[in-house]
Amino acid sequence: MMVSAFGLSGGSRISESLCPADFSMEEEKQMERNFKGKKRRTLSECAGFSLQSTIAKCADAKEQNDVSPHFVKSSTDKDVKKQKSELLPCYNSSKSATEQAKEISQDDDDPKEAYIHVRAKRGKATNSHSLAERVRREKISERMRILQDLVPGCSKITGKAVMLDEIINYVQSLQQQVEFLSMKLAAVNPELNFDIEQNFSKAARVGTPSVLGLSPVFSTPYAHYPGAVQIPSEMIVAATISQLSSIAQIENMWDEELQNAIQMTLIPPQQVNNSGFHVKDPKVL
Amino acid sequence: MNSKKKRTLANPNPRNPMQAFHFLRSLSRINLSTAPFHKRCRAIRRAAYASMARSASPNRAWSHAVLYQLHRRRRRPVPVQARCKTHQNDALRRLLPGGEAMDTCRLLEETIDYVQRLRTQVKLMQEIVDSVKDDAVHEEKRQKEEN
Repeated sequence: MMVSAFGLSGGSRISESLCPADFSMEEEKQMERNFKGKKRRTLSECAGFSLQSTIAKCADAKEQNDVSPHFVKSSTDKDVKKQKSELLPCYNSSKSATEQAKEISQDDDDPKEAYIHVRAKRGKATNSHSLAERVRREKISERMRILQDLVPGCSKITGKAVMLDEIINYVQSLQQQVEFLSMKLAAVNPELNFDIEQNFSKAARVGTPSVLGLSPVFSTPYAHYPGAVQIPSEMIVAATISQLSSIAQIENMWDEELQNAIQMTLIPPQQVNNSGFHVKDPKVL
Repeated sequence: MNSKKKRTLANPNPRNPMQAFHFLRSLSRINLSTAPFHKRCRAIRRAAYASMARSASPNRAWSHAVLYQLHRRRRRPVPVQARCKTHQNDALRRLLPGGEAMDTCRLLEETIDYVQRLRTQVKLMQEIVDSVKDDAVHEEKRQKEEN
């Protein structure tokens, strides 16, 4: 039986009773050491290791559910110690092995489906508030990690405050880029026609929009994002506004002449292909 | 900004096509209109944010806030009540549309989504500008060779 494996002599059979796939060799050895030295304390530590992975794995294997739910249920350290003491026959042999196995497996069904159980780690506060608090903190740190990957140049930052500043700067710079680009597009646009249908149905070839004289304008320093530098957007914006408005006037003159030369512009396939957009990185980022 | 919802063809990159599609549609419509420059600017900017918000999954709070702002033509929603924490997350809340009344956890989720879409929007607009610029350069060269 599973419970008997916890006997002092059955230290080698611990691996069979518990979910074998989850516990590594080190943990097993640690558990063997447990029953020789300090049994209860380090066992709870080992149980805390592969906590949530065991939920998924042990949920399938019905035979192994007898013992592993102990490590899955949300409980405090004191409760675990009490349960362990019940299991360890040398300490408390009041309950029979089958009874313990039954009451273990009964509790197993609902909790594993309802929500993720959090196990109070050793040496930390164990009331429900701090457990929830810890879950929340872990969620936040997980999201910060995702953001760290998103924001360029933030792989080395360790610290929420600095990371937040970086994120804020990045979002601001992106928003400024949108404004800047929308101005550019407004200047460019009267001659552009997009054929949306063909755009999305087949590989498109590039037409020839007749826009002239715009290339010198767009050599203005593009707002990119190097590290934590704030972009002096007002200067750039003011400069381009004056330039673009003059260009727009020139465009109006060209309009009548270029009307006949305007063709349908199809967006090049690199905009809508699978691998994302082809970006000239020094400019944008 | 009342473009019809249209199902795009199957594409392995699910988010980008819808965003690009909405934006390009609005852009073409803006092109055809004969508004002055600054109005077109603002219209394009609104189209950019609208395309971002429309292609967002519906449980994103920021998309609703953006669309609400654009629809009502209001510059900033003015929520003074829902000031949960007045410390580090403040600036981020102000940046994110609709970020005032959210707890930290959700705020970070929304910024992740927002940043992703902003990035694709910027890339998209940059691509358009680049393609136009390249074509302009080619056009110039061709005309010079002709002359």
